[in-house]
This record gives sequence, C-alpha cells and structure tokens, in this order.
Amino acid sequence: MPFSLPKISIYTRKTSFIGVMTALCISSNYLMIGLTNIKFMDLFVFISGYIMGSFPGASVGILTWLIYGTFNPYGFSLPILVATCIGESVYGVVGGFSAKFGLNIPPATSNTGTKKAFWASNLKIGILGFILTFIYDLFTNIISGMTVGIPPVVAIIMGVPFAINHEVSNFLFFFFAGNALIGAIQRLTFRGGEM
Amino acid sequence: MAQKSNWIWVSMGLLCLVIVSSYLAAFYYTENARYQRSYSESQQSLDDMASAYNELISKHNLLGREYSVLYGDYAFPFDVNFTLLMEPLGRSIDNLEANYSSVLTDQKDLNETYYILRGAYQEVYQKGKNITREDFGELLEGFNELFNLLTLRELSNAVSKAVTLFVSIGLDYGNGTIHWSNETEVAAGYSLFQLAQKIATINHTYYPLSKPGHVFIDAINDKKSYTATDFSEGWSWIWYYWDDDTQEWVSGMVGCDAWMLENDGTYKWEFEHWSWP
Repeated sequence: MPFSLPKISIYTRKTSFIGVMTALCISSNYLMIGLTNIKFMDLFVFISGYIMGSFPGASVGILTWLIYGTFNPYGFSLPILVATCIGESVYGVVGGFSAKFGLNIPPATSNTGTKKAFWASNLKIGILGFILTFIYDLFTNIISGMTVGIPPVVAIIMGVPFAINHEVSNFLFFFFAGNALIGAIQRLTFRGGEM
Repeated sequence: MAQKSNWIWVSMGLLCLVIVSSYLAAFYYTENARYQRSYSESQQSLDDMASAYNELISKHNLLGREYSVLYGDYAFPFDVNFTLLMEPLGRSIDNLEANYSSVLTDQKDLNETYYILRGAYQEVYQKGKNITREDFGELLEGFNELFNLLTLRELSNAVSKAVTLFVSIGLDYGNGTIHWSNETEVAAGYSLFQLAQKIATINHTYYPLSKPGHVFIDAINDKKSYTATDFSEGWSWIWYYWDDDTQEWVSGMVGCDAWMLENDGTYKWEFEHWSWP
C-alpha cells in the first residue's frame, strides 16, 4: 500500500493562514510602532482577503487589532478598538471581493502578463489601497473624535497630517508591494499546501 | 466592458487626487488660521507691554524729578535746613506707595522695605529741628534704592505680559535628598526669593542693613537654619546658580530677593554646614 499524507482540508488551511498572517501583522506593527500611521498591516490584511477570501481577510484584521489595540503603548480605548476592528476588516473584505470580481493581478514573473498590465494592476491596487485607507481614516477619526467629545469636522481636520501619512504610505506600499506579495504568497500557499 | 472598467479606475485615481488636494487645502487653511490667531495674540501682548511701559516710564520720570530736586538740595554745598526738606521727602515716599501700589502689594520683600523706610522716616521726623545731613542722606538713599527696585520690578511685570521664563531649581537638604523642580514656569522679573516661595514653604528674616537684597532664608520646608550660641558653626540655606560658561555651581553672594531669574537658568538651595573662623 503506497504511503500517502492525509489531505489538508481547506478549513485547516484557512485557519493556519489566518494565524500566520495575524502574527505577521502584529509583529510588523510592533516593529514599526515608532512610525506614526505607517504600517504594513493594511496591505497584509488586504492580501489575506485577496488570497483566501473576504472572511479570512476580515478575521486577520479583527484579530490583529484585538491584540495590537489591547496591548498598545499609546493606550486602550474600547470604542476606538471597535472602530479600528471594523475599519481594518474592510481591507480584508474588499480584498476578497477584488479577487472575486475581477481585479486581475498578473503574476510579476509570468510570461503571459505584459509589463504594462503588471504596472496597471499595481496602480489599481495602489488606488484601492488609498481609497480604503481614506475610508478607514474617516471612520476612525470620527469615532475617536466622538469618544473624546470633539465635533466630527474638527476631528477630521485635526487628523489630516496623520491621514496624509497613512494614505500616501499605503498607496506606495500597495502600489510597489501589493502585486508582488500576492504572487509570492499565492505560490507559497497553494504549492506548499497542495498534495 | 474593459473600457468602462478603465473609466472607473481613472475616476478612482482622480478621487485620490481630489482627496489629497482637499486634505492639503484643509490643512493649509487650519494652519493659517492658527498662525493668524497666534500672531494676533502676540501682537496684543506686545501692545499691552508697550502701553504698560509708557505708563511706567512716565511715573518713573515724575518721581525721578522729585528725587532729583531733593538730591540737589541735599548735595548743595551750603547750609541747608534738612527739617524743611522732610516734608517733600515724605510726599515723595507717599507718591512711591501710590504709584507702585500693585507691586508693593504683590511683592512681600519690597513691601517690607517700604514700611521700614516709612518707619525710619517717622523716626527722623520726630527729631524736629535736629535733623542732620546724615539722617536725611540715609533716608534719601533708602528712597532712591527702593524707587529703582520698584521700577525694575514693575518693568519686569510689564515684560512678563509677553514673556514667560522657564527655570529649574533644586532643594538639597544636606542629607543626600535633592528635590528638583524642572521647567518651572515663572513670570519675567521673578526673584529667586519669589521662586523659592513658589516651590516650597519658606521662613525668612528681613535685614534692612544688608545690601543688595535684604532677605535671609531661615527654613525651607521646615528644615531650619541653626547657629551655635558662640557663632562658631551652624547650618544654613545657601543658594547657588549654575554657570553655563564655567560649567560649575557659583555661590550667589547676594540676597535671594535681589537676584532676578534668567530664562533656562538653573538654581539650587543647599542646606550647608559652616564653621567660623
């Protein structure tokens, strides 16, 4: 009787993927804690959603914030934690929908994909990253303002320097690293996991 | 279909640009409004300072003129009846109180100096016709010294409308315990005595004859100075300032009420043992 490894169920694969990506997000967040609003986390959550689907993507976002938002040197606030969990999960959900509804990412090294298509998809991911970050900032700034009793408009204006940091850095991360990371992680996930 | 999708992406790209532009515009607008507000506040405090300065200088000139007349009579080399000069000196002392009432009310040490001068004046005045040149000269010198000090303090008060000082001060109790109050905010024109009163509970004695400064600190936060009955040794509160050029502590050597604080200055009160000779 030939020896064979048991097949890994998609459920197990998704669970372990969520665990690995959450760990990656948390560790990179703590490493980059000195850089205000500049984090790889948003990109990792988006990629998680893109590769494994909306639910795992959202889970990575929520789990990351549950840990990073609770053990945070800048302090803990429940309303802000809830807002960041919801806001972060949007990256994962939109990542999942992007894969499902035609954000076609040609692999960086593929012979079939042209250079033009590769950079066009980079730009698409960059734009998507920027808009998602804008929505996230808008939402979390309003909730943070309400928590400390600041009117929403004032909270948004006060948050402008931080929002610019966040949105521009995310645009650059999504633009330069999104496509390449999706290709690399997809290869690892499917080749490594497939029997 | 592909063309429609491209248009969506172009629109989303434009939306990003609109967001960045709006952010920059909002940020520029709020920063500009903040600077405008801060500029008008600074301008207002400078205007206040200028008008307080004008008022102060005109007072100073009037009282200076009165002093000049008295000093001219006193310094005149011929026989002068000093009893006759006592009335105008009394009026000048009254004018001093009337013109500098706020400083005299706020600053305990100057108030004490004023009442000592007033007491000395009454004492000399009681002598009637036997007032000597020395008696009058001492009063006049006391008046001039207080007058200059009051002008300086009021000038500092005027400056304090626009300038705030930040100083550091340490209290060394002589038993290894040192308490530092860093970045303590004080008004311009504060003396070391006022700073000590601000950060600790102070007991002091006023010495009219010691100059410059009349205040001697007896106790800080209940740590009392002590002198042996034969004056051979004791423990006293001595103050020092940090000299940035030489990088060492320098003993004050003047009364703490005569030492005006500098911005970013560092000071220290030390409870020290001394012996004599």
